Amino acid sequence: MSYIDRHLTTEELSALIDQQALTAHKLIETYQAHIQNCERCQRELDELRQTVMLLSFLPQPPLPHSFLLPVDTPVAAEIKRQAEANQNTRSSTIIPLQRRTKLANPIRQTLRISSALVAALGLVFVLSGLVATGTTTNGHNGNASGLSQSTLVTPTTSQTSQGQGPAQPNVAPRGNTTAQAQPPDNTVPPATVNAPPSSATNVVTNTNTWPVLLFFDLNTAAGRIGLGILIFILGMMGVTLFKQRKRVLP
Amino acid sequence: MEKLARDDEGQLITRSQRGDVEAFNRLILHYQPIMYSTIFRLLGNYDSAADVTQDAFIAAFRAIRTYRGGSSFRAWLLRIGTNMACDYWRKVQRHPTSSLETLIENDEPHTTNMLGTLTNTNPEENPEEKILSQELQRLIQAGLMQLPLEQRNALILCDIQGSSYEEIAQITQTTLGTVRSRISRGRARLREFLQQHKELLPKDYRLTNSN
Repeated sequence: MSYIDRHLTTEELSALIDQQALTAHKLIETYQAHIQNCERCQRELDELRQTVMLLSFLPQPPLPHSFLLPVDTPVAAEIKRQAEANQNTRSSTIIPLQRRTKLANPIRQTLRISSALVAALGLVFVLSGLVATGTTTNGHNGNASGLSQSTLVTPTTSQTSQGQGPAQPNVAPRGNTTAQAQPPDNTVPPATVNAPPSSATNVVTNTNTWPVLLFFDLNTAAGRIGLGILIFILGMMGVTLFKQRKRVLP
Repeated sequence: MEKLARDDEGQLITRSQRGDVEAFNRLILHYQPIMYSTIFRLLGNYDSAADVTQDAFIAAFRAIRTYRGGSSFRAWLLRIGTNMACDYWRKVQRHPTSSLETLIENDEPHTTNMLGTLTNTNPEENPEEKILSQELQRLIQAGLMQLPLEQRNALILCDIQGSSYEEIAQITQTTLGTVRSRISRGRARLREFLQQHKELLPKDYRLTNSN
């Protein structure tokens, strides 16, 4: 039998009084072994026992009157009505309710899922913008952000187009122009980054294949992030809206 | 108190759930002593305890259709009763106009009646039962009243009504650990309170004099 080398806490002593609280029988024996040798814990246990005894000897107060309910209490009628209504509901109205919810649920659910997908698409845009920012920053030794990339593009494009024809403000032709100037090469080896300025500008112009949507230029990181945030907000609004409608409908 | 068989209780509950007042009244007859006693010990006032007990039985009848038998019916009833008593106590505490001191002072006439009932108790029927003096009862009740509400509730249910820790956990909707902690803290505080008033304790009940 193990021995406790400290005084028992009030909780332990109290639990010892109500032995039901102690699941381990060995624990009781350990406590008792300690108490037999510890005067302080013995005294404390006695005092607690005395307190419990005093409480248990308190008599039940006499009832001031009977608490029986009158036979014609309105609560009884209320319960009977509820019981009848419940029975009627079970027998007849449950099936139509289920049908109605079955019809309404898929539409709402589809709209909610679509909204969630739109929000996810927005997140993809934001992430791609962030990744592009990171890549550009690393590639250009921290000098070029998404925005500065776009400023780099314009003179290059005008230079290229000057050689082949009139300058075109649209982005799509820009890509075409670049494609004519340089064969398409999406993979940029590290050596290209450190190449002379003329080849670096060509690499930048290779990525300019995205259109301008609304006010967001998708060729720039800032444009993608902005569009992504807008789409994400719209998607989340849709999710919330269809969720609320579900609560309102029966 | 007449004992209620488990089957009988189940039938009475089912009938009550259909709105049968007489069936519910039989349940009230069985449980009113413990319900009133618990609420009285929580509030320390006979009149308030009577009002809350009546309200608790009405509330229980109204809600009886929600009783599914997950816990014992006694625990379910006591949960309603103690919750309503705790709500009443908190409401009185929030409104200083009807202070708790006035609430406890109102006891006086009833306590005399209770003493009469006590002296009429026949010790031969229950020879182990010891009758406490009026002063001692008042002292213990005062000690209970200075405990925090949760500790008081747990202590009353455990040491006065003899509920198990599991039943108290069901009644108070807490864990066994919380029940254990509340009971031990409540006992420790009550012991300290009684030690401060040692002179009022009769010799037989002096603390540290173990039997």
